[in-house]
Amino acid sequence: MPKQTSSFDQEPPESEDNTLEAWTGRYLDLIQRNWTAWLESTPAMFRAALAAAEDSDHTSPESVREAGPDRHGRSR
Amino acid sequence: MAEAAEHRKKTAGAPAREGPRPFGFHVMAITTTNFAAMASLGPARLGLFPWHDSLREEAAALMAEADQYPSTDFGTTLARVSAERLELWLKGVEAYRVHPYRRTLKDPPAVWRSGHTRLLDYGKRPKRARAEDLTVLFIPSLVNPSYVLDLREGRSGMRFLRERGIRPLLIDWGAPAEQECGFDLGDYVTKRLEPALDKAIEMAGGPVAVVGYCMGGNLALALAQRRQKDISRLALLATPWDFHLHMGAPPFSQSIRLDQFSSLPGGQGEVPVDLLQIFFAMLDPTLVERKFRRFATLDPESDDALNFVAVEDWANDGMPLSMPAATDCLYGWYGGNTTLKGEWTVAGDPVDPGAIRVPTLLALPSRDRIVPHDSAAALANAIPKGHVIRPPSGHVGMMIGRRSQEGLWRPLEDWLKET
Repeated sequence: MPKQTSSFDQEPPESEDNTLEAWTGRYLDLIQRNWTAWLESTPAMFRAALAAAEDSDHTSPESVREAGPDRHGRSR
Repeated sequence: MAEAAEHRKKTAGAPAREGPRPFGFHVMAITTTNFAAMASLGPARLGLFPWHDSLREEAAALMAEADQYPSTDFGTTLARVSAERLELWLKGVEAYRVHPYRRTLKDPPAVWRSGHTRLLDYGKRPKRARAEDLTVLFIPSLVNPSYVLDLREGRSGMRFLRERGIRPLLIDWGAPAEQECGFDLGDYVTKRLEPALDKAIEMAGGPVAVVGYCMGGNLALALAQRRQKDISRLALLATPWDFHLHMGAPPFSQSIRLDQFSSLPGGQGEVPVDLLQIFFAMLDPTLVERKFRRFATLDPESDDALNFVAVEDWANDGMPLSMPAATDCLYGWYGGNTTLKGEWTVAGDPVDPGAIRVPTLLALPSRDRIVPHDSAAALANAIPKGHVIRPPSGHVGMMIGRRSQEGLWRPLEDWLKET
């Protein structure tokens, strides 16, 4: 699916400064990238977990699709 | 510079923007990351922080470097640097919100409409031999405005092609109207694209070429399969096919029930824009922090800055998605990989790229993070007559970036004109 974010091409240049301030900036960048890396790799884990739970979990996507009208009486 | 000055004249008094949207999400993402960095500093230095496998080596090297600094300085320095970065980010947001740029290109006339969907006609070249003009139907994504193909002067694929003897007809989906709120993806193909194709054929006097971008490419593929005799060529730009290959965070949407959002008081039976924005922001939750810090350092009148504002305006100008279409897309494509498995159907027929017999071009941008190369390459491998180009850009940069003419529009023009 398409995106609603943009300018993925543009990243700030990395610093080659040896000060603690520069180190701290690189540490913050790495913390950000760590979050993204986990987000990128976790969907497969999610899918596996959802598939395993699908038979018994009434909130699974399959169950949602098969469910009747919602609490406002509208069809799903 | 002249363009910026011209824009200031045209847009004087325009209200400030509210983006980047959803603003609260971005503030939370930034502050949470900064707090997490502070809380993680001790464990990270002791080698106890859960770095992702792909970063473990780099993190170890960074931590080894830390030994040269006095340990008492880390906390205060981190607090100060975090605050400085947040301040710079806010300067970037302020500069964006008050930037004088506004899109001033006017939509061309609509030659057909149904519900909120329009077919925009960019016309033929003036004073040229009209018989030479090729007619091409362009199909954009459902969840972003179509004007990414006509962003601004000098960054408009539609106007670029028109000047070169191609008559672009652009589908403009608009926000779902009452009728379209019940549409699934197949309905968009059979009830909107097929009649629009009929109109294009009528205008051209015969078969036309079809070009789809992003999820518009998936819809174009389904259209081409159903109407092969009416389509001379098919181009699929950054079109995802294998949704389980390196695709990012939107699968998290499977962990929530979209119908519960739409049935909240005030809901309109759609997936709201802000929720869609969050799904996509989760591809890289702190990208907005980095982008706007960088924007804060740009000359606001530079071409880079103008393009940044133009793209951000477009990205923040999203549209809701009908619930059945969102279900097809988020649960079917992203969750079940129905495309690759041959389980995505339109009017009861599986959409099968192997059945496509018309010459097909596939553009696989080499730095696409929204539709990763391998996901789109799976489609290239499945189409018998597929010709691949690899623009050296990202997903959006391919369409409107500095290198978009050389990377995409000229090769597309050449290919469309091949006999």
